[in-house]
Amino acid sequence: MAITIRKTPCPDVDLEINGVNEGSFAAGSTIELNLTDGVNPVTPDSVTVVGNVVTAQVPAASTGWTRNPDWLPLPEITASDNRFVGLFLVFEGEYNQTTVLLTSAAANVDWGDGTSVVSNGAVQTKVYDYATISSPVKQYYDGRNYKQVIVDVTATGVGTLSITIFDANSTVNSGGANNFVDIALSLPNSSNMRLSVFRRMAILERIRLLNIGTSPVPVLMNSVMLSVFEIGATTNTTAQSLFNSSGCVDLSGGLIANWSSITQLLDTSDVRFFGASSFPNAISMAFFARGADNLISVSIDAPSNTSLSNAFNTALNLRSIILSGCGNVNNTGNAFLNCISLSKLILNGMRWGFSIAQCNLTAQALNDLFDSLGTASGSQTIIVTGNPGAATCDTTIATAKGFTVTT
Amino acid sequence: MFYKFNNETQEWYFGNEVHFPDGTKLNAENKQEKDGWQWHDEPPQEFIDWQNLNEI
Repeated sequence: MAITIRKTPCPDVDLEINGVNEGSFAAGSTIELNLTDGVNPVTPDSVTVVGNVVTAQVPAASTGWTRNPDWLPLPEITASDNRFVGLFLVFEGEYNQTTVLLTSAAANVDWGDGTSVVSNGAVQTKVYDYATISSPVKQYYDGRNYKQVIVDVTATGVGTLSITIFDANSTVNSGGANNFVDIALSLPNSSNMRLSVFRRMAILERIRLLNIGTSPVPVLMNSVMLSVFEIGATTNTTAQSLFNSSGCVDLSGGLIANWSSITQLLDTSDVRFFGASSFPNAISMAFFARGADNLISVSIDAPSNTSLSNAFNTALNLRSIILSGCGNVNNTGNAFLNCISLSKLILNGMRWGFSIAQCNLTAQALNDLFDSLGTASGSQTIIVTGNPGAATCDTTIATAKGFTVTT
Repeated sequence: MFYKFNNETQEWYFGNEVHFPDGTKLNAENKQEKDGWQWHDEPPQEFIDWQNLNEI
């Protein structure tokens, strides 16, 4: 946004914004520039003055998930706690039920509406009464009125706290009405934490699993509103298909896990943001993000990985791939097939051939790729045919490392 | 253009030029066969079939 202030023959001053005259201001008056997003103030990234031109740099559009500002904050929990907290929306005129099953350890269940129960192994069901909840009335995206409660489950004794949250324990509305939108939990001693509602918790937007002990990593995350998934310490060996076909879009926090396989982790998922991640024990990334059409970039350290077979096949929007520790890879079949947007590829230590035919790398990007490679493992071929920089890249960088390069 | 089928990965490789570690360069001026690379004036039918199969 450029604001041009021009003094006219009379003492007044004309104001132009991006070339459009916005009126005249009396000499000596103050021009106050007020930036908002329509509701909230927007702070410019910078304001500069050059001559009579004041330039305010408007921030770029937010690309990540933003927690609804109307929502009550969740209590902070840590990875050493034995605790579950979840924000539950109680909709006006609807049946609002949730069910919690706690096992092994005694625990207190605070339903967030002034009632609570101490449980030790029994199924606890709660049906909320909209009228008795004291929180202010808010409006959901679709116009429905709701109030909020925070369900807080805390272990009260020594032992293993496991938790199962599911849709219902009866024949009443057994398929839904589980209106959690934001969940955080830490169950370090749990071996059987189950959130089967992942499949049906339709309005869940964020889940943070700070510590799930030795519980299975949950799968089938089809919550269509799910935007943020975070997972902390886990001793599980595999996370195969964790986000397969999920509606989760924001993993910008990245994942660090000791899983031995991350096969199909993002396969055909909607994940768009995937932060820097580390999988030190993963031996296969086959079909890792095949068909993940929304995915923009990945940066992964997987030094034990041996397979990139179809890893990014037809990830149409994927622009940047940085893989560290590629020295053990010995299968790259169709790894980058149809990665038509790919403009940056770094494969640190790669010794196996691969094809990036018809991708979008410039000559400099191809040279950077060649620089990142290790020494070829025997006779290996790299196909860069069809990239914008194929004809002018420096193939000798790769051939000097023993690769055959096709342009 | 040069074509080569990778039996291991079931992929077709293709390109205008092939640069080898020993300095050999295959191109329109040097159409010799080397390491499975073959020059074709028109794409082989098997290559076209493979492309169609993987068309997006």
